[in-house]
Amino acid sequence: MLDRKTRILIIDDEAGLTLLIKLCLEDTGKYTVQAATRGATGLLAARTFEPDVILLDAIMPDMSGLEVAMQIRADPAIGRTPIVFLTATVSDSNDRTSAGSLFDFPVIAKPATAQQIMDRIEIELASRPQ
Amino acid sequence: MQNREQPSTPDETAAAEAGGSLDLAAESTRRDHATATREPANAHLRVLLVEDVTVDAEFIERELRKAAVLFLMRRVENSDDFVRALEEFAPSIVLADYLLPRFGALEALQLLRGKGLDIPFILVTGSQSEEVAVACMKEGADDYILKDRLARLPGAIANALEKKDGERNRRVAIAALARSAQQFQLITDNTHDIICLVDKTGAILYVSPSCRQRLGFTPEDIVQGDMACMFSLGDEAGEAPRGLHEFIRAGALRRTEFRCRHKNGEWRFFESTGRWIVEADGSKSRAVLVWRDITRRKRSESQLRQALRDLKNRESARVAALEDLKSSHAELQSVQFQLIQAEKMESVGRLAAGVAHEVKNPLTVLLMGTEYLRKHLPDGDPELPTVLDEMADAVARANTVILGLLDFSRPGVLELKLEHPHTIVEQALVLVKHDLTRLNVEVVRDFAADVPPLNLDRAKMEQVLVNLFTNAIHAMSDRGTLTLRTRVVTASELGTRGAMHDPAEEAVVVQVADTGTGIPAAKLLRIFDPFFTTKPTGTGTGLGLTVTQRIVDLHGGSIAIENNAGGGVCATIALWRGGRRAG
Repeated sequence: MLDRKTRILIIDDEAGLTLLIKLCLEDTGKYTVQAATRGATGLLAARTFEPDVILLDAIMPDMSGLEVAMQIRADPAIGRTPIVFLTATVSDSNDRTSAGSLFDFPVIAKPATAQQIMDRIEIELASRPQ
Repeated sequence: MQNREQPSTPDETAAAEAGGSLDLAAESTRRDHATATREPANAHLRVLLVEDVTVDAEFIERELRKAAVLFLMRRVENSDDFVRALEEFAPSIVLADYLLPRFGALEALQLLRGKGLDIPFILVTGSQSEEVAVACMKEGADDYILKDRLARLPGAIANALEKKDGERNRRVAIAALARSAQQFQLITDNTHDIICLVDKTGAILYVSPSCRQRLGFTPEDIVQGDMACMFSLGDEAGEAPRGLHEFIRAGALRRTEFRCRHKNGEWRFFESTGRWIVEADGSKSRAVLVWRDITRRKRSESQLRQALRDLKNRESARVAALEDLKSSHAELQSVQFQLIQAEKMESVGRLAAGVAHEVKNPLTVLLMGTEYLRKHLPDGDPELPTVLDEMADAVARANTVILGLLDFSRPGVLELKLEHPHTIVEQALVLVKHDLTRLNVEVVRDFAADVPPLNLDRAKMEQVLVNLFTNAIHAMSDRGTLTLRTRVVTASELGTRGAMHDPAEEAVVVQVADTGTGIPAAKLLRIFDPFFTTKPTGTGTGLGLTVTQRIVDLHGGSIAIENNAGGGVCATIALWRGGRRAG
């Protein structure tokens, strides 16, 4: 497991964003990143790619991030995968008040730096139930 | 038949010069007759003598002359001449012998009285008995003289004239009295006013018949009858009615208004004026009262008052309605304004949320792009990291703007940390560095050393300062000066802005002063209004100062913007050391 890179699935309809996240995260050598720009393909990737952490956009054209998250949670195979919302709907990552609709999922407010994203990923991995 | 007219003698002139001898009554009688005739000798007593004996006539003339009487005399002997003389000669006195052959004193007297002439008639007789004289007196002669006592004649003439004069005066007086009584009757019968004569006790001695028309009572009813409970000095039902006597005693003599019940039960209104009559002895025991019926006037007045009251009521109702309308209008305006504001806010909110979502993704790409590029920079160009820093700054600034827009459209939540105001000022300066450099603005820092750290939302306070700096820079042409001043002051030093605080409470004041164009006084009041901007269309959102004020408010502080005396604008932010106060 030591040499296995952490698998990150990013589901976001902003292709430029998914590319940059992939570039920045893989640049560290610690992550393998797969990107999906639609909810449906994201769900498929979640099942096939088996990511360690899923980064999920809240608002996408085909289905909402929350819908995607619910379907992931409903799937026994991948239901325990940590999900982090990456969203423009909140102004601050710690702002829980305006993220009420995202239940208890952790949130990263856009714009965010790659470092902030990686910090959050590490927190999620550390607290992941074994 | 003699008809001799005796002219005046020289003696007469002398007598006249001596002042005459007859009294004033005779004089006036004579004058009356003189004016009735054309004869000029108006100073003379005109004597018509009925006498057939010339000697006797001469005796009589002599007696009169002896008495220095100025006279003209005509003598007649028969009735025809007598009647003619009465008309032509217009005697002032007739002297007649009792018995003439064909004409006598009695006949003359009857002729005289038959003509209705009231001329004194004196019988001058010879030897007849006094019975005859008395019979003549009974027929209307004024006196009689016996021929053997002619010396009495002037005195008798004077007496007769005086007596006639007195009688005439009395007749005139009686006629005048009758006329006066008639006039009085006419006046009192035809006046609309009620005229009364009352005595001291208030008893009515006389009341004019007009009371019949005015009150329905006859004068007898009023003078004798009991008119209790009919008079009231009260205008309306204020005063209990009282009896007439009491009423008169109470003040009818003053000019006063009262009401009195008509026999038919209606109240009539009168205006009473009165006056005490000063009797010959100076006492005042009677008074004249005049009561004028003013019922119609009172009714008109009452109607007028009612009309006035109605008018006033309508006027005040109208004023009240107008006030209602005004306040409704003001309320409506206020509600409308609030609705418009809310509508604007909602639009801005929707816009902000939309913009935020659409812009934040590209910003994230840019941010991560600079991050990625920083790690993969080719060596050799020392400027490249700086360029990346600038880009990161720009992204951060763009994000701040978006956050500001979101803050403005949503209830703000502060993320308070203990921050030093100077640090935030410096950070905000960095954010406007580009503009400062481009416009050659000199920055002067006048920082107080004792400024403590405060609980502040760093990003939001930066936003506040960036807004103020940007406004200041835009207001200045090339080479302006931006002065940044910080001080620690007490609430009492802040004046009204510190009024809600303990006078000793400390605040940090941050001032941003420029040397720009200033703000027109008329616009100073509106600068915090949303969507109000002094900048050209497209260059300002009109939200900058609104958001600024909102953020300062959220911090429990205050902001004031005013023109400097020496030109330019000074913005003063006061932040309390204790931070935001509860509530």
